[in-house]
Amino acid sequence: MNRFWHRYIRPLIDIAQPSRILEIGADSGWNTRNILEYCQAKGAQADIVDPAPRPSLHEVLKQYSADHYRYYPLKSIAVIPQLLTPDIALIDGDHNWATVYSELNLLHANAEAAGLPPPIVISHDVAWPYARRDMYYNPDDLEASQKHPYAYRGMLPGINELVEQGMNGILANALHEGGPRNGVLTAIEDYIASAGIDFHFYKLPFFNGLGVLIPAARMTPALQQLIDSFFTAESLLDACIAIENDSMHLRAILAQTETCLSRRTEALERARSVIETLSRRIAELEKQPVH
Amino acid sequence: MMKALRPSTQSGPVEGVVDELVNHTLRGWACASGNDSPHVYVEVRSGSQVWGADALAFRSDLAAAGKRGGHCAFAIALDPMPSPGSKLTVSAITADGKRHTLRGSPLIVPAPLGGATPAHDQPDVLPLPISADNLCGSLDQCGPLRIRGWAHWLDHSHQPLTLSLWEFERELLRLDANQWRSDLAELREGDGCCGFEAPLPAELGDGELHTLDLRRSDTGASVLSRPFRMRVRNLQASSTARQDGPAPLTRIPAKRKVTLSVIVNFYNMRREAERTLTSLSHSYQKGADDFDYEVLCIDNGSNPPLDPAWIERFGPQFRLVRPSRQLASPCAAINEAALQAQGDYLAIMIDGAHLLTPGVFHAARQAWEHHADAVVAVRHWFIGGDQRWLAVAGYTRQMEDRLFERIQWPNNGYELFRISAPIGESPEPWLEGLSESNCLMLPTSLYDRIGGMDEAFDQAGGGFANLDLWHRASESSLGPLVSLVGEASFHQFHGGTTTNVEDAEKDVRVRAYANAYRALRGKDFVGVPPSRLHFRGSLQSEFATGIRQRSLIPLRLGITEQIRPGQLPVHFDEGAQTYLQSVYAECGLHHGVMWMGQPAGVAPADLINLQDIVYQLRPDAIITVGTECGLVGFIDTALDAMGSGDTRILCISPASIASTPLPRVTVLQGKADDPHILATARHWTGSAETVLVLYDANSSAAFSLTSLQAYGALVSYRSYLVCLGTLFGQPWLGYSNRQPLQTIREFIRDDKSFVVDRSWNRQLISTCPSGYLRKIGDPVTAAHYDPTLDEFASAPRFPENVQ
Repeated sequence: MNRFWHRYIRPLIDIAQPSRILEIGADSGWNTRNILEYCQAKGAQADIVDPAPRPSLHEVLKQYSADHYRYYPLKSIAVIPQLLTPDIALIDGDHNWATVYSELNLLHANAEAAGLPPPIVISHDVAWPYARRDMYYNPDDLEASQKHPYAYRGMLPGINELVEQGMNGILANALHEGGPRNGVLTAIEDYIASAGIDFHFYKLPFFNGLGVLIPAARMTPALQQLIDSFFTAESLLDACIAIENDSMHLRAILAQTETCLSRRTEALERARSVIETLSRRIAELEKQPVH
Repeated sequence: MMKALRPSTQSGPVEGVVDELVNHTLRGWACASGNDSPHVYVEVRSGSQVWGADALAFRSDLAAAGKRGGHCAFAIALDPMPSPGSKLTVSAITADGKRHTLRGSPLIVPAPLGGATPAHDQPDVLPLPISADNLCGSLDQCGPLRIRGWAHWLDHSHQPLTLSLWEFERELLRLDANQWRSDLAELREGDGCCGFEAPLPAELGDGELHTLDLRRSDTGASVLSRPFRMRVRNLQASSTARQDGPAPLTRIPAKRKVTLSVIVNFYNMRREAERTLTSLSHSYQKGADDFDYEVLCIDNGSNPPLDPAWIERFGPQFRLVRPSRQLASPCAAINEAALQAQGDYLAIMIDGAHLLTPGVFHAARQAWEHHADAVVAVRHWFIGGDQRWLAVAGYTRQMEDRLFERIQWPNNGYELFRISAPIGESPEPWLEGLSESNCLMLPTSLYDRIGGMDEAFDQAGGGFANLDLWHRASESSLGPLVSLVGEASFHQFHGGTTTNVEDAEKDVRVRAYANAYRALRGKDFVGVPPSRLHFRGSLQSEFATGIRQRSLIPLRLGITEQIRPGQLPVHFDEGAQTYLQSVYAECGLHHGVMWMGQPAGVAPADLINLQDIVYQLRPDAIITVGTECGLVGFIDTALDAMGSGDTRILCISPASIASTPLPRVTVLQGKADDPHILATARHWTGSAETVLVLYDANSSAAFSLTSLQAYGALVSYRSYLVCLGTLFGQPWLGYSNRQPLQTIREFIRDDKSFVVDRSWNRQLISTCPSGYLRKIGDPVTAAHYDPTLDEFASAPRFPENVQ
């Protein structure tokens, strides 16, 4: 999600001028730092939610006054009912239908209770691979009816089934892509369909996808103008450049990995040769009579 | 992205972190490595000032993260509070007197709060640890409606524990910490019977910040580190749209009185109406000859409209009511009809497609004889079963007609159970909680008092209006809530708003209805739990007991070649799955699983799983520990079939193996946890790239955390450590002293690179539930590449190499 910050999220925040921001899924704190910078500059408040962040999040939090944030080491579903309604919610937590749909509805219910429109929601992972496929950080946390059959296998674009050599094979991914109640984007669409109020929804379909969900009651001409600017030819060309940079970066990592693999393969070949030599010699020695 | 487990914050003999300094209290956690280590003492220094406390308090997140069973949190009150800008050094002191600086130290005392929301105006975030002398637990939830948590004595004594919620010196409520909670049992917190839960006093729901304390009822001692602040949203006043329900109805007293007025709503369902009205007639309802009732039939805008003369054919007590307003929602029409009703009781049938069994009126009458204010609810079933899916598959009204013909309805109305399924296909259709009734019978005075149907539910069909009526009636009833057993309403196939549409469309509609309900009531809809219901009746049909009689549906309709996509959690829930497994285990059916004349020791599905794992991994080396000969033979055969000639198998067995030697199998006799055996296994594994370990937890007495760690260390990245026989240590075998599951839990808690891969347990019957442990952590990336590993010493110089 951090790759969207400067070009998309920060301008949205600047226009919307939120007094309270919710971040679900802080991870290492990269976006948290940006959020807290904004809060510090504008006197806003942030609620940071992540039950299992990387240690660097605490380093980030320490750099800012606790006047501007509260950190909740809990699951979003447990925290949201305890929070005041944010103006903007950034969602990058557990990427499955049940969690995202619950998060959106809990935010909605909180807002309703406060007599406010639901927050603007900026959600990561509305494109492949988790737009139409659930992923569970801890499958045991969900009821059986809340999850699809899953496996710790990876994914490849365009292939419905999981594959051993695919991406994110270290996570519990739903066996199949698509269908009802599957994936982050599906959850957002289902929420929109059932919420009973009007929304504007926009999707930037790269870097795993960024969804921007704006309740009609929070839409302003300035916000609309900004959103429209995301989809101009110039802006999309900039996106192409960013994607190309990312691609080149990944190719560099691939080249580095191939270098390592080549060295390791050569080393193992040498090791095999050593072992074969030793094995032959041992066999010869064992044939010699014992004196 | 969030990760499943909070990572350790510091390596070395002591780990821990300073979490926060809020309101003079410094919080964090610290513990020495190893679960059995003594607790550490945490010291805070600022200049000459020193504070300290034992890091012993319980925190559920630490328990979940495997940090000293959760008993390593600290909360140190800094009194007097150091001045802003002061540096606080926080150290953990171990039993040997050594100091270890905690992550987050030193900490600078912040300036007084000047932000938008001062901290002292903020509520505390739950859960909060409960920690006192010999007591631990957690306050998990306080609001908006309930308070919930758990607490037990550290010595696990069974002395009753009662807690009290206080606001200053006023006791608000008492909580007995004696409720069983499965999650606590899973965490092995006592015997799991230490939960507490109760509704919060309504006075707390004023939207104001309250300072509350949780104390022991017997001694009055606080069990929290300090009082906590809680703001419980005012559900009644915070939203303009919110309301308890409609205003009471005002009725003009009827000139003539009857006992019951049935109000049944029709909209474009002439075919269904005929059966429904028949089921309401004197000739059909048993024991109702002397029962005076009327039936008000609403035609809510049907095209063509229902004919009054046709309605009156069903009996003199039947009459047609045309609502004065045509609305998509039937609520207003039902209220209008209700105000014309002459009965002391009303039966509300919002969907006229429901027909009844013959004893409904008689059972209701008996309930009212027993208690005049009883609210009587009839549960609903579906003719033909899953009508939504059947509709997609080609089911028609004509096919449904054939079902009715087959049971010769209406000769015996209880035969309806033969051709129907209960809502949700519940395996216990009579004893569950109740969300709605399509024949809800209640005193007219109650209906009027609660304002009848809430016309704010303006969706076509009424949305959750019927659920809402039942809920409000249940809340306001002066009598018992009677759920009839053995009598039911049966939904006929027609174009209803949720019952006869595709699953996805129904899903969207129901979610929209649920949201509309929440917008109106300010809370999510909750059905009435079984504990509030009085069950009354008897089973007049052997087919009414549940869904297990599905095969008894007496007619092959020949609708489709498709098989309905099942939903395992719905159609065969966890309880049923556990029962199936327990029967399998206790009957020892796995003893009959053989491979080429040798016992395999696992369920057939596990054999297939292992074959699939071997096929996917193509391991270089497989280590089996304590497995049956047949399983080793099976793996060997599978490898042959796959052309994996180079794969080696090391078979570690405590006893000698009598089977035919296999070329790829090396047998090692001895105990799995014998250091010599372990060293030999490590040596045998050598440089094998992909290593799979199959460890029979059931047959090996050596199955322990230590040996699991030793063999786990041999498993290669993305391969498996399969613990066989875990079925025989499942919690439901409560009498068993086998604890492999507990050992596995401890293993994966300590070794984060392994996860329990339950995807291999999908075939329901497995002798290895929770036994497929996959190594998914600690991958080597280019960034972590160690080039020194590529350096090998050259081959030793032998005489023949010397020139």
